[in-house]
Amino acid sequence: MECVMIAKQISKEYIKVEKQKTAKNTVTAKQKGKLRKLAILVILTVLAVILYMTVNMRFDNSKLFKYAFHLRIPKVIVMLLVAFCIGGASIVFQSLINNNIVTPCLLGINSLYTLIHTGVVFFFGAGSLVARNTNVAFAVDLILMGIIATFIYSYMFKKTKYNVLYVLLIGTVLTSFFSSMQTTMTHIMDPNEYDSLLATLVASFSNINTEIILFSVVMMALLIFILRKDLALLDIITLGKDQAINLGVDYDCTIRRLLLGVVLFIAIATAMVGPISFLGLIISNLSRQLLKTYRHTYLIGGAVLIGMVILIGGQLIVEQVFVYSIPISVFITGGGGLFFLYLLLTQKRRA
Amino acid sequence: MKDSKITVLLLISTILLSIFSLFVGVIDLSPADLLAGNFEQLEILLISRLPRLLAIVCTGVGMSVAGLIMQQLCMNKFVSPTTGATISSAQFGILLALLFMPGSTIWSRAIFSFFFAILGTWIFVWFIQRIQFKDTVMAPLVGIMFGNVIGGITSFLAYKYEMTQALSSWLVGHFSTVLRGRYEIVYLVVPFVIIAFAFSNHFNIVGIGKDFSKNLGVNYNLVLFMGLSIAAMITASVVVVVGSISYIGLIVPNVVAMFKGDKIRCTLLDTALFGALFVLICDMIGRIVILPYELPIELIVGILGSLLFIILLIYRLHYGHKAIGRKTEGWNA
Repeated sequence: MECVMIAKQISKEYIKVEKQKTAKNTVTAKQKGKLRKLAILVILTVLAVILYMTVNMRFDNSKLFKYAFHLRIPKVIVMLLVAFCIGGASIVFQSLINNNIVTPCLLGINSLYTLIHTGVVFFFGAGSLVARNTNVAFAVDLILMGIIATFIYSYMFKKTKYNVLYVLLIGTVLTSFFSSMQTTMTHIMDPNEYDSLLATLVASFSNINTEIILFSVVMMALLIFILRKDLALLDIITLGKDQAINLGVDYDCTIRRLLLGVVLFIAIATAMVGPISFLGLIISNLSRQLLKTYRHTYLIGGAVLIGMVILIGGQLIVEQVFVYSIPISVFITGGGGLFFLYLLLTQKRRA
Repeated sequence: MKDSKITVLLLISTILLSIFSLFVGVIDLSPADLLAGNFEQLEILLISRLPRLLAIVCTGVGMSVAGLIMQQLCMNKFVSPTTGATISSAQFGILLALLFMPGSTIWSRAIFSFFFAILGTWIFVWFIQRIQFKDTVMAPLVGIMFGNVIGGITSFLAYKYEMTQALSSWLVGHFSTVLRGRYEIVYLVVPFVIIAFAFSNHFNIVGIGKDFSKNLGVNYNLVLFMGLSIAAMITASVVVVVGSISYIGLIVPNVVAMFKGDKIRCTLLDTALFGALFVLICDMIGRIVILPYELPIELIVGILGSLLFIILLIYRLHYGHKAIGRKTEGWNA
């Protein structure tokens, strides 16, 4: 009898182990699927970059080739960086406040940046060191931005008790508040100062300061290094506040640090190319739908890559097909607005 | 009795500020010279200052009444010409008029703008009525986004046909181009406001609900669409002359309702007066800040209005529909 019992137990355990094995196998299969999707995205990005660098390039004339090459290289780098900033920041932000239809840009963080930049030039004057040296100006902007944005937004989240709809509405209103303030300042400003301001403010993809690029890369690397532990906790934070605290996470502190990081990343992106409000929304949601996972390593990677493909592809189409007749922001705003409405309505209906 | 006191107070301060605003400007006017019959000064008064004052008053009254009507009809405190896509539709209409009839007069532009403002508002209201939102904040959110999409189309068309500059004076509202002969459309606000006053009880009933208004023998759909059209036409006639002025239709009715409750017949007059007062104050600030020049009023309203709106939102989130001065009496008190 006992033998039979033991045999049964052994067989049971064997089955258990087998089950676990198969479970592991399916997990790795799923992961493989995601990795494959990411790999396809990487290939697409590389293709987009190559296309962007080669279409209509004059390979026969070395002078023209060099000229075009020098024009296009910084643009590509900036687009890659911007996609990285916005994609990463959007995903992190969405996980922080546990909602997929809110992105930092919808909350007016980038118009706050333009306001602060204008304010710095306005109060220090265009002749001062702060306004003349772009790197100093950038650093001052970032510090102010970090302080003011954390203050405003953490206050706002607390006041609305994280009610997402109110946060969104207040965000859109804040956007118009910041931009009204900014336009008012530019109206009051001395015209000469305004000219020098405009050159730094309306930085599109076509005129980019290489120093700023270097500076931004250093800043981004530094930020990621400082926040590396907090970023690793993102998967846990998505579980919710109580679970995260149970698992030993210093929830409030982590949230605050990450929020600050998001704000600074958006500020960097805005400083490079000006406001692109809906890009984050589009790419973060596409990434979530494509990868269907809660692992942030994949989500962020996906969002960043999709962002790169969209930005470079879009810019390629705008430059080569429409010959600059339509700015890329028109596409992003129009398409993004519709996409947002769609998300808003479908989300509500599901609830 | 207290209610009528507020009204009288509002009326007096509006009149005083209006008179004061006549004498704010680059060229000094003095009452003594005017009475002495200084011809030049009289001319400035009649060509520039008086039209401006009238336009300001009409704008304030019109936009706030339009906001009040829309809020009452949609049963939502956060709906207004700004958050209901009316303003952006009106701008879209103006752009189309500029595109298809380059030599158009202000009247034909106004007709285009009327048409599209009404259409845009109808679509928006149809939209939010079909999808019954659980949260009141959803309607303005959808409205703002809808407005953004229309605005995007407008700026795309303007960019494509190189009309951006021509359109810019309708995008940011300002009173600096209001001169005699160019602003009279804004008077259309007056008959519309009178109609609104006449039908205010109907609007209230429709605001309670479809079944209730049927019970009382009010044609729900007719009143709803008539009310919306009136609000849209008021907005459009302001937009054609002054340009877009956001937030007035949102802030003013809400502030008045906080103190006086939701019965339109009682609040309409106060709303109109307070609207005029609000725009007068904003205009004065815009004219004084950088004195020889002036700031577009849209900027001042944008700053003050958005701040007030955020305060209002947080207030509503914490206290719901309660009005300040009438704690427990309910809205029908």
